[in-house]
Amino acid sequence: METNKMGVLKIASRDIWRRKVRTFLVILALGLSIAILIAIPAATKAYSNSVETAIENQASAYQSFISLTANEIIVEPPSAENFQGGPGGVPGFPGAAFANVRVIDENIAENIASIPGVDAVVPQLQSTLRLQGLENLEYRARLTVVGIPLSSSLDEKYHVQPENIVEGRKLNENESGSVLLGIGLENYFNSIGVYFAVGQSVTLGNYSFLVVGIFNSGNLFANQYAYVSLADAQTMFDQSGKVSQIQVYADSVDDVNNIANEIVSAYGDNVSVTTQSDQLQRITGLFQGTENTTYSQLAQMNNVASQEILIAIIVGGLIVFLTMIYAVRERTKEIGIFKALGFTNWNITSQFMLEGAIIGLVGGLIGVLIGSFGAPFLSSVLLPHVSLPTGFSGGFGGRFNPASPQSTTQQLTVQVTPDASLILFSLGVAVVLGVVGSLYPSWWASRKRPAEALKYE
Amino acid sequence: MSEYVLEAKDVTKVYETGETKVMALSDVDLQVEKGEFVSIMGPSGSGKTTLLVILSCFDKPTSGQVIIDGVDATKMREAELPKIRAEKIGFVFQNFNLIPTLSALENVELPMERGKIPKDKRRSRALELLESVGLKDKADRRPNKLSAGEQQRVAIARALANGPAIILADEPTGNLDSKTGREIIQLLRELSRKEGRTIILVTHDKQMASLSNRMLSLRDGKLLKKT
Repeated sequence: METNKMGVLKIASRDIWRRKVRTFLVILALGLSIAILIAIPAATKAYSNSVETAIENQASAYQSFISLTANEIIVEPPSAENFQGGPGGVPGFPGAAFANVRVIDENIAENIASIPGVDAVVPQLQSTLRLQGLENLEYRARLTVVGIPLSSSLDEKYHVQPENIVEGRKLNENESGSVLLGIGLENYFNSIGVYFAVGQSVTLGNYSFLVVGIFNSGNLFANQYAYVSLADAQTMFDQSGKVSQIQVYADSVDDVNNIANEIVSAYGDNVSVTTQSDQLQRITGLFQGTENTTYSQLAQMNNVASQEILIAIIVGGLIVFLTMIYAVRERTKEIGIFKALGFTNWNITSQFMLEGAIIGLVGGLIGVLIGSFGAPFLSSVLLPHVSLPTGFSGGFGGRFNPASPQSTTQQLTVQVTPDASLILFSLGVAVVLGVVGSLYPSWWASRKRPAEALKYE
Repeated sequence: MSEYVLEAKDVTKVYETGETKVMALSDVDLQVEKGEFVSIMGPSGSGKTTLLVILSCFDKPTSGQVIIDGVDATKMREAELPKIRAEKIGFVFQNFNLIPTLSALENVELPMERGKIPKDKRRSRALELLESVGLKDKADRRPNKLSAGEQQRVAIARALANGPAIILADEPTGNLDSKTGREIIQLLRELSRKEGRTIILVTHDKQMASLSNRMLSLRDGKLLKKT
């Protein structure tokens, strides 16, 4: 083995810069490949971690929800006993009307209240309206009117009204003609040209209501709710003495099953009774569904990521390969000179491989820069999106209905920051690509006979 | 050990292109003594370049022997030839063939990199060689900043770097004007006379060849006459 050479390293590095534009483009292209190599794994890792955390948070959120509502029983109509939607529509939206709703007699609530062990009953009448022509607004084009009993003692104990009032106040006991609006309805009212503020009048169905307060439950669905008194809702929907749901609260969790059985034995098929364990099943099922969807999205993302990484590596290697082939062809005569001066095949091979390694290293460093700073952008462009269910996140504020849980999803955004080991690994890959990509060209160069290289013959 | 520094015995070289065979060299016998300045003349296609390629161990003859400084190069393996080229032979080309990315000094240092000469010694020897061809003050210039004559001087200095037994010069004045060409030949002659270097000059220029000690002529691959 020869001593350390000025020539090989110096010539290699000078040759690289002989064709500045070409070298710049090659390094940039290789840099992009390496940036992908850094950004994509960093992003998939961040997504995986984020999904894990989100799923865990949601699991614990819904566990705590379940424990909070452990003594709750939901009584609902069994099947389609419909009323036609409110006669009035929405000004400017002639087709819009409240959805049909299944109802039961309100006096069932009074009867249930007398069952031993029942602490309280909360009858409700609710219906949802969707603005036609605004479907693209999705859930924002929806308004749900909830009629509730206005009792301060009931509210204090069971939070019948939403808690987080951001403007104005809650509905007062026995108040009529007033409405408490979710903050998410701002879009809804703006889209029908109504100013959204406390003190304004809004039309729901054919009735006018005074806005007394605005709340923020922290839940997308619950924020689309408009609370009025039960009597107002019954008038509005022409459903005097009817309710769509009764929430029954037991004194103790131990009484829940007995009370549920009594309700079933009293009303049989006329009602549907849902307890904590039923809710648990329903929510678990829904939760599992969304969790599976998220994990399958994640798996798909990983799949795409692997393919992109493979392509990036192949393209990176190919770029070096073609560049070195070109460099060898361009410097055939120079190879001849080196051979004439007595340089061995290995000397020639090592020079071109060193050039490849230098290109790899510089390209790798550029890639580290692009990858480190551009990882969020690159991953958002190159990876499919992952969505998370939001119906369970942020707690179950407001009057989220556990008996008919709904879910919505939100695109997951993550902080993509490549770690040091990934950066070092990618830099190593860049150098290896540089060396491997120049293996054949440099071998080919070294095989040239000096006379041939000098165009002697 | 042979008294000749270079010996070619019955060297024949046949090139085959498909079914066509071209006899580039035919039974060439040549003996060159140490310190001799020999010129080989001949028109284009006479086999001058082929002879040089064979003598420089760039290629092996179809038959015959080439003995350089007592070593039979025709019996050596391909992998051993670089060592012979590096240590025994110095090259001067028609188009100089300097490495464009290296300075004059670095070009002269280049052949020494094969050996185990420490860097400072390489540098001082390269400077001495540049001084001997009158270019010490232009040591840091790259080839494109040197005139054609200066580039050829650098090439001669480079050819001398490893103290070779023979210097093979292939039309070294071909790309130079006659005045500069003459200066280059004078330089080679001085190397032969003062330093005892063995020089083989291939040229088609009779005037340049006339400055050598011995003129040989090649025609159709045969060494015709000796003067």
